[in-house]
Amino acid sequence: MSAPLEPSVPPAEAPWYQPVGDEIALFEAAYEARMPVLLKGPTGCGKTRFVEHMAWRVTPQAPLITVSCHEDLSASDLIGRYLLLGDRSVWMDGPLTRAVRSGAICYLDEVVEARKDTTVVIHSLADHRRILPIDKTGELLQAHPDFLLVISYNPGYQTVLKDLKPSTRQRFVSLEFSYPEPALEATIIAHESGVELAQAERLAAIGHKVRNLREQGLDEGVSTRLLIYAAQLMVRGIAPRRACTVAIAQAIGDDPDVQQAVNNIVDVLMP
Amino acid sequence: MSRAPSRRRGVGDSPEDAALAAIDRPVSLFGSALAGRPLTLQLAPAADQAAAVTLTPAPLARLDPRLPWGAMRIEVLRHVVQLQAGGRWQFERAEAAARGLIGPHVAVMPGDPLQQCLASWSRPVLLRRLFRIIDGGRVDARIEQQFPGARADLQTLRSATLERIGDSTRPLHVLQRLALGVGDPLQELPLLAAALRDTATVYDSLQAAIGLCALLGHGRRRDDLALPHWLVIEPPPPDPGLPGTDGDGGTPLDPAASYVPQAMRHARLRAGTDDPTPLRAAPGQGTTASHEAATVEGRRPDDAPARPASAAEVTRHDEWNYLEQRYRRAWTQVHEHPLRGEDLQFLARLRQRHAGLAANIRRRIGKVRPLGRERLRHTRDGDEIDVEAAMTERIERRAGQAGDLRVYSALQPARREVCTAFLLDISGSTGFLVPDREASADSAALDDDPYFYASPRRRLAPPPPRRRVIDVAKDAIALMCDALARLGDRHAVWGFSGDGRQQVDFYLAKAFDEAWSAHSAAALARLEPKGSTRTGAAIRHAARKLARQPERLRLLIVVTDGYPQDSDYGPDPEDIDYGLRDTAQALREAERAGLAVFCVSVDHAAHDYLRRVCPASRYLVIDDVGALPEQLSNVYRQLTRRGAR
Repeated sequence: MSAPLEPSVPPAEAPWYQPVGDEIALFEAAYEARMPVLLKGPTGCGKTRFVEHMAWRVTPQAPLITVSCHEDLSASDLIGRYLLLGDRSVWMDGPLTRAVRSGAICYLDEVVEARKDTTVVIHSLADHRRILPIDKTGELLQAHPDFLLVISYNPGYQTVLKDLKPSTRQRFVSLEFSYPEPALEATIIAHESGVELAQAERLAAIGHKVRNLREQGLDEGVSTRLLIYAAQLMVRGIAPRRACTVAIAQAIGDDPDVQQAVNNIVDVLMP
Repeated sequence: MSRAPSRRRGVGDSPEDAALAAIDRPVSLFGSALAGRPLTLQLAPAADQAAAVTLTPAPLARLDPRLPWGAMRIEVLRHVVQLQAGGRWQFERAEAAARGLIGPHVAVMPGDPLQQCLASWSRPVLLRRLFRIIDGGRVDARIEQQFPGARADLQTLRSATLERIGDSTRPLHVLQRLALGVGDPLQELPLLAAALRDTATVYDSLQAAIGLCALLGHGRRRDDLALPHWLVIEPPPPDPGLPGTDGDGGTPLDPAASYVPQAMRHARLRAGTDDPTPLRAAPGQGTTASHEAATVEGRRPDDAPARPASAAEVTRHDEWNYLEQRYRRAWTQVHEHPLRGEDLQFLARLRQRHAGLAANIRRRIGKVRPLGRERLRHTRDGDEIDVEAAMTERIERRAGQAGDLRVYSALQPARREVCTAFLLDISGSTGFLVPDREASADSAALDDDPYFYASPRRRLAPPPPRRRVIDVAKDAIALMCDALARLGDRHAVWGFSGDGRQQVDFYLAKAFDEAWSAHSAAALARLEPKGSTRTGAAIRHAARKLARQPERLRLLIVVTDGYPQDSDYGPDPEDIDYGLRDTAQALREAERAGLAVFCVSVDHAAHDYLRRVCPASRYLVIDDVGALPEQLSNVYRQLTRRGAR
C-alpha cells in the first residue's frame, strides 16, 4: 500500500542539470502544448535528473511526483485504493491521481516494467482527452490544466516480451538520452562529486571505454551515475583504483571476466 | 571475443592453448573496450619468448599467455593504438602513394597494403626491421600518452630492451635507442623527428624507415643510390654555439651516433613533405579483403546436398510485392528435405577443435538457466492465500465494491519455456572462403624483430586450411546446439537455398523433437552451399513450423551472409529492394505471430540492408566470421534472459 511519500513542496533550488542538446527547449515546448513526453535512454544517464530540473522550471507551484515502476505495479497502485481507517474504509488517491488533481508533473520511471493494466490508465491521460477514469469510485477525473505525464523507459534491457506497444509509444513525444560525450561527462562528474577536473576527465574516459563492452555481452554500460559514485569515493579519500573497482567494476555485473577487463581498463587509464 | 576457431595453429589442447583459454575472455574484453571494436586473441605464432602484435593482422592480437601479465597487457595496448586513426591498421595505400611511400617494385597482389608497401622497396627485410623499430617507438609513446597507468610496465619492457642493446653502436641499435626516447633525435637523426612527434602516424614511421633504409645502403650499393624524392641530404646551417656540426667527425656528439653513416645525420625530409595534414586519398582504392570463391577439392558449391529423388513435402507461401503493395498469394513453393549425413565424426571433431570455445558458450548460456519456480500473485486459484490481495479484497467489499476474488498466489511450473530454431542461409555465396586476415602474417614473421624479440628465427607452423563461411556458420550452430542440448532447451536447425519461386529448398538438419546426437550433427554437416537466397519464403516457412511449438518464447535466429536474392525475386533481378521488402514483411509476420526473430549476418555490407529489414535491436552484423559462435551465444543470452521468466 503506497502512502504519499513525495515532498509536498517543490525544492527551493533548481536541481542541477547539464544540457546535452536541445532537450530543455523541446521539453518546454512540449509542456506548453501539454504533450506527454517519453524519455528514452540507458540507466543513469540523467533522465530522472532532467525531469526534476524541468519540473522545477515549468511547474514551480507543484512538486514532481515520481513513480518507479516495477513488475508488480498495477493500475490501482497508480490510481488509488480503499484503505482501512479504524472501522471505516477510506479512499486514498494514488500518486497519479494526486498529480492529475493538483496539476503536477507525474513521472513514471521504467514504465514497461509495470503491469499491462497500467496502459489503460496512461492512454486516456496521454491523448487529447486528458481524463483519468477511476473505476472504483466511479469518478471520471479531468486533468488539471498544469498536469503532464512523463514516462521513461530503457530500450537497453527491453526484451522481446517487454516492449512499449506502438499505441502507447505514439501518444508521446520522444526525447532520446544517451551518455554524454566524455568532455561533457567530465564536467558533470566534477560538478556532482567535487572531484578535480583532471580526475573527472579520466573517469569519463574510463566510462567511454567500458561502454565499448556493450557489444561484447555486457548488457549495460557503466552509467554516469556510477562514475559520479566513483568520484565521490575519491573525494572522500578512497584510492582512485579502489574507488573504481567498487563503484564501476563490481557494479556493472557479476561476470568475473568483465570485472577483470574493467579493472585493467581502469588500471591503464589511471596514472 | 574469442580467438577465431578456424585460424588456430596447431591442434588440440597444448598447455599454451589451455593457458590462452584461461586469459582469453578478460583480455579480449579489455582490448575490445579500449579499441571500441571486437578484438580477437590468438596464440602467438610459435613457442618463442615473446609475442608480436604490431604486424599481426587486425583485429587479431597474438599473445603468448606465458608472458607476464603486464607485458601481455602492453601487447594489447600496442594493438589498440595501432587500430586507432593514424595507426597501422588504418593504413591506406592511396595515402601512402600520395606521400611517395610506394617504392619502385610494386607488385599488384591482394593483401595487406602496408606489407605491400614495405615489399615495394629494395631490401624489404631491413626496411621492415627499421619500420618496426620506429613504429614501435611511436606506438609506445602513444601508449604512454593515453594510458598513464601502463607507464610502469612500459618502462620495464623498455629497460629490458635497452639493457639488451647495451652500448652497441650498430646503426639499428642506435636507432632503437632513439626510438625509445633515449638521446636527441633532432641532432642524431633529423629524419626521425617527424616520426617521433606527438601527432605522428604510421605514415611518418614508414617514411622515416624508408629514408633510413635508403641511407643505410647509401654509398654501398651503387644501384640503390636513387633516394626517394622527398629525401634531401644537406648539412644543417652551422650553429655558432656548436662548432663542428657540419659533420666531419670530431664533434661533441654521442660517440654511438658517430657510427651512424654521416649522410643520415644530415638527411631530412624535403620541405613541405613532412606536412602532418593528411594528404587526399584517392577514393575507391579500398583495402578490403576480397572474397574468393571456394575451389577446395571436392567441395564445389554445386555438388551437395543432393536433392532427394522422392517428392519432397511442398508448402506454398505468399510473397509480399511492395511494388503493388499486396501479397502474391501462394507464390512460392517451399520443398522440405530431411537430411541425413554420414559424417558421424563431425560432432566429435567439433568438440575437440573448439573445446575452449564450447566451454565458454556453455558457461554463457548456462547463465540463463532459470531461475527456479516463480510465485504468481493475485491469482484466482493457488496453493496459498495472497495476504495483501485478500486484504484489498476485504477492504473493497467493506467499501461496497465487488472484489475480483483473486486472492491466491500460485507457483508457476518450472518449465523453461524457450525453444529455438536456427535458420541457416546455405546459398552459393556461403561457399566463399572466409577472408583471411592472416594471409600476410607468415611473411611478416620471417624476419625476427629486434624490438620485440630477442630470439632468432622462428619455425613456421603450416598454414591452417582455409574455411568457408558456411563451415564457420555450421560450427557455430553446432556449438549452440551442443550447449542448448545440455541446457535442455528444445531447438531445431534448418537450412535454406533455392532456385526460383517454384523451388525454395528447406533442409531439415535437426527437428525439435530429435535428440542432439552425432547423427543430427552429421545432418547439419551435410549442408553445403548451393543456389540462391529467397529469404522471405524461408522465413515464412520457418515461422510457420516454429509457431506450432508450445513454448512461450520462440526464437528464430536467421544466419545469413548476404542480401536476399533469387533469379525471379521481383520483376527486376538486379533490384534488391523487392527481396528486402519481402523479407522485412516476412519478419513482421513472424513477430506478429508471437515469435522473436533475430538476424545475424556475416556480410560486411549488411548494415545497409538489414537496417531496412528489421529494427536495430533485432539484428547483428558480425565483421569477423570467426566470432560467430560467440556472438550467437550472446544473442541467445540476450533474447532469453528476461523472456525466460
